[in-house]
Amino acid sequence: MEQLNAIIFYIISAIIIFSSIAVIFTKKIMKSVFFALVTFICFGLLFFFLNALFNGVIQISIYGIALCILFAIAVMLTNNNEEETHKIKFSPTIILAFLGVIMILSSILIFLKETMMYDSVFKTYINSSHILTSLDNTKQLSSELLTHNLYSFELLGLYLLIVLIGILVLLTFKGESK
Amino acid sequence: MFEITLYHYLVLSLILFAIGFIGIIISKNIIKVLICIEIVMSAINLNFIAFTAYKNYLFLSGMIFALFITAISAVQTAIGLVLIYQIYKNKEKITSEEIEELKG
Repeated sequence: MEQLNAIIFYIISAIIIFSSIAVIFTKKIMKSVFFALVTFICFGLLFFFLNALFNGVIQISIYGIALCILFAIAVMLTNNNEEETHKIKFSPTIILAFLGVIMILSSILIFLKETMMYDSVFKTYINSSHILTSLDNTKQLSSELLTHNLYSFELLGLYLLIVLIGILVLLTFKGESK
Repeated sequence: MFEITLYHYLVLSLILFAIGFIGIIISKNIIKVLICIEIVMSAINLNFIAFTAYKNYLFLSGMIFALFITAISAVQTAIGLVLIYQIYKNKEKITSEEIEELKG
């Protein structure tokens, strides 16, 4: 069972990494929207894997479906489906930036692994994972959301209302005349 | 090898964060930049949820944070797309090289 879980995890991870790289390097924008859809759905599957059922459903329904439809509509509205004109030249700056990012991230990981933080963060809690099932998790998440985090939840609702009004204002904005 | 630990999830989210960040830097189409921002946000969500699943299963604060991040990033994408549409209506171009009015 553990081997099967590991194999599924590695397959999903490979798909996510491949499709997120393809998002950047495909020339047609519509294809990158498609690869983004694959990426977000695989993220949702990983959340299911971590017993976060509610987060997985939210990830697939909001990111995977709603946002990708929004992106596709935006691509169609802006009539921007032609090939991207820029060519990514692997100039020394880009290569150095890429190497720098990789070096910083790997040095953080090595630091975490070599110091005491590795033991305290990574090893101590591994055995305590997967205590609850997904359904218990959803129930507990909703009760936490509406008891201890009620104010932030209400603030989020207020924020969404303000943004809705802002979007309506932006949409009715005429802009400068051509 | 066959035991999936927190370390695996952290490495995966780190790789995805780096890919999204590089995409934000090198993409010139603004819609692609928005998609890369969403990938970065999803990597952050994965980090939060992995920490909650392996570490703090009692309070689920990471999962709640991930929910908030999802809502806020979806909203900022919607605003970004509206702004892109308005820019396209006025200028008829949406690559970051051609839109030069916002230069500081």
